[in-house]
Amino acid sequence: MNEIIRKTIEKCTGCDVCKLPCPVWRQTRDPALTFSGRAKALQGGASPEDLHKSLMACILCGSCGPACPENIDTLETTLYLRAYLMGLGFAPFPAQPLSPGSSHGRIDYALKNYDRRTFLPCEPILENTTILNRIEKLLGNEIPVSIGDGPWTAISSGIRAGFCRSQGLKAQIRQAFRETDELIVSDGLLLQKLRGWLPDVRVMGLGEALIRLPGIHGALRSSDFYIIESTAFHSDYSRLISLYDHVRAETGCRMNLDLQRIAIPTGSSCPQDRYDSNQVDPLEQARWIINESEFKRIVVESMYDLDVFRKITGSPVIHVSELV
Amino acid sequence: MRDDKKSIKIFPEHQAGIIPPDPVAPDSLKGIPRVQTRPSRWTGQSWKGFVNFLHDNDIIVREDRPTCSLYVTDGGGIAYGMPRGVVGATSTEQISVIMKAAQKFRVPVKTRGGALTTEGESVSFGGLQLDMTGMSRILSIDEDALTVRTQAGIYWHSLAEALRRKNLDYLSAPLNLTSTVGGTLSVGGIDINSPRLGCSADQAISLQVVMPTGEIMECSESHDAELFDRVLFGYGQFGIITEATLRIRPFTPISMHYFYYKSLRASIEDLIMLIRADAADYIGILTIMDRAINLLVAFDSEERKRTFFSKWRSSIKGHGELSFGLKMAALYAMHPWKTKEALYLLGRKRALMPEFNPGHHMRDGRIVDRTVVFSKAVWKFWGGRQMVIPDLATSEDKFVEAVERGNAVCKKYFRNYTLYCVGIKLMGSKRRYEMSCIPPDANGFAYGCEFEPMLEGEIYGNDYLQSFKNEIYDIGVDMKTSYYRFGGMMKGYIRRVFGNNLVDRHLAIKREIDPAMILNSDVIF
Repeated sequence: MNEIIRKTIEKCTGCDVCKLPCPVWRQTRDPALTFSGRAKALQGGASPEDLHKSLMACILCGSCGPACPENIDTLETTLYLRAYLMGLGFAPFPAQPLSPGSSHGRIDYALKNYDRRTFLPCEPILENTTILNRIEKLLGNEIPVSIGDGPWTAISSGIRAGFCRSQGLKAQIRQAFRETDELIVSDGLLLQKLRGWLPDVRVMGLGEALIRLPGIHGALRSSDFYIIESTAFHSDYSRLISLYDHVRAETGCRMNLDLQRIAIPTGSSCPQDRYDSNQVDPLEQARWIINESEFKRIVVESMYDLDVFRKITGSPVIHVSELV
Repeated sequence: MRDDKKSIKIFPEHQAGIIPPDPVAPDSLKGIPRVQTRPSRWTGQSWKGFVNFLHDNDIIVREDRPTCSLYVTDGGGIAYGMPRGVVGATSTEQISVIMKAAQKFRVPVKTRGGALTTEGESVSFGGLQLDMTGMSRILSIDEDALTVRTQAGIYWHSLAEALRRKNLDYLSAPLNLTSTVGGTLSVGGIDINSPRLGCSADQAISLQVVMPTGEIMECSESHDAELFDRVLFGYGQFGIITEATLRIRPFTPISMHYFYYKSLRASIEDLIMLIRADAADYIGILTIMDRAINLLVAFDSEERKRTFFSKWRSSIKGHGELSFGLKMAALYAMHPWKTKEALYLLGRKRALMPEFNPGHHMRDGRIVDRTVVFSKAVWKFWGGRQMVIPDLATSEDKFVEAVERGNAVCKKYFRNYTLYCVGIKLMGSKRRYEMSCIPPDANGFAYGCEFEPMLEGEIYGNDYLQSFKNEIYDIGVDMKTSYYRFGGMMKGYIRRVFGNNLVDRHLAIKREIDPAMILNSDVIF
């Protein structure tokens, strides 16, 4: 194993605080399927191959990261271990082909050059032109924004599987965004990676970009239940918690924050149908999020969450871009 | 060959079950015969039959190494052992079947919740590890009677999450997110509101218990009270708590205030005075060595806060932050050779204080979800792969001396350390406190101090750490106090502290209800 990862695993004290917000733990009560379980197993002599099932079960919501008192980069460690298994010849995850542009764990990408201010939408936004147009209008109200196309769904799936780690890909991405000042990304996992790969670009999540607009957060009501997209939120937690806490205090709305102020994920953006081990039921998560809460409307940052909440409540469920 | 013969002379053969005088070091247990309560140990016999029996009853025992390795140590990180197999608890009935089988096949069973023991109490040395955290459902919340019925494997934090949806809270629980209800009730459980609300165990109204022989019992103060009192504070010796009904209360944010002292004695005297006077809702002492001593008080309501400041503030000797800072600055200006120490104190304060007041947990100057705030700070600043936290639990009269003597031991062993002092209101019958963390001579209140070295990444040998702990524990023997953590590797102290009569009486009860002596063996017996 990589020495950095080995040292990271050694840093884990086994306190299990990261287990508390973990949706896999919440639904399975199996400690072996959590980050602390993997760390303890590795410390106790298990090999990464032994952790195949556990690594597959993780939905990469990043909830464990801000909970960790040792500041371990739990998400990156999990992705590295997935990549390590790939290197050992384990079947690529997800098992299905990622997209027409990928084969055998490699992504054949061709990236164009992106504009100064670019928005990278995820698949459900691309499929919903009403929402896409709305977002484009909102984000481009003062400074124009262009919609960035490209093999981003495949790259996101590749990151999830653990194999988008080559220096070549990173170099190509840096080249493609060399003119870009601000990049807005709706896929939380892709956002997390791009922020690391593009240190000179201001990279932010779609939720943050929209909630910062006065018209949007001014339209939130105290009777709203606001669902934060967890992976994006946790990827820059110490900065974003202040922003969202401010919005919560100002508007009086409820949010999917637990007592640790970690965003409870639904897991809906994780392509679980492509995985062997489907451990997290998004409907069950969503029920827990709104359990015992009174609200008149649900506002979601992630398009994946629209359907999930519509299935479990009779109240209106809207995308954050529909607030104005 | 000659060497072998020589070694045989040095270490002569001895009778099985009797431990001879230690030929290497003097016997630390002076006056106590070196006789083990249970000289024989389980060596794996009947395991296969036990596992097959459970399998036939649809109970899966996981024996793979990755699973078993999750349980090799506890929060203390000093005792290491490996279970032969693991079962995740799912129901009371399942545990009942396991315990019946364990008695029949004489296989040891070690229960485990958050595993925040520090002396190996929740570590298996062979046998079956029963992971209780799977039993974590809340069964009912009675908002009128202010009670909750919950499965005992639930983390206090998870219980708090559910209660907060109804704007309710538990009464008191350890400042640790991953303690479980069952584990805490089995040892006591102390919070900074324990001076008002007592131990966590005292908030239990009734319990469902699986006996070591597998019977399922319900007990409370009015029904099978002896079992109730034995299981609470019982260190898992007399049964497995599977469900508990607990008192709860409305949730309140708290306002926190700090007073600073240079003298340990003065701060403890004020702590005792304030506890006796019921002057604050939460109260405790947290120190950076014996240099910066912080008495923290907190309030659930503005009224209680106002009363404190009008009636009690002038009676305590603690300074405000600015005044104390100026005094310390003057002190270190006159002792420039102690600049390193001054910088450490300053750095520590700067790192710690924001963690105790994080913006996203503050509303109108009050802390919302104090347990989360404190617990995260505790893990961040005091957590580690090894946690060495010997403690002393004393009556009021002995507390100052015990802390001062313990402080001297800390100084001898470590450059940096923390003391954490709390009071505990005694609530229930005396029987449940027997042979527990509550010292027998405590009247009305007991007091506890944890002595926690800051290991800060330095590597210490286990012998060094054990010597430190033993010196603290020896103070307890000398002063006839008790300990919050007296199980596990502290077994050797039990007879010294509590005497043969009491220990033998408990041992007789244990033998009667656990004939094969298989439940949580090696913790006390």
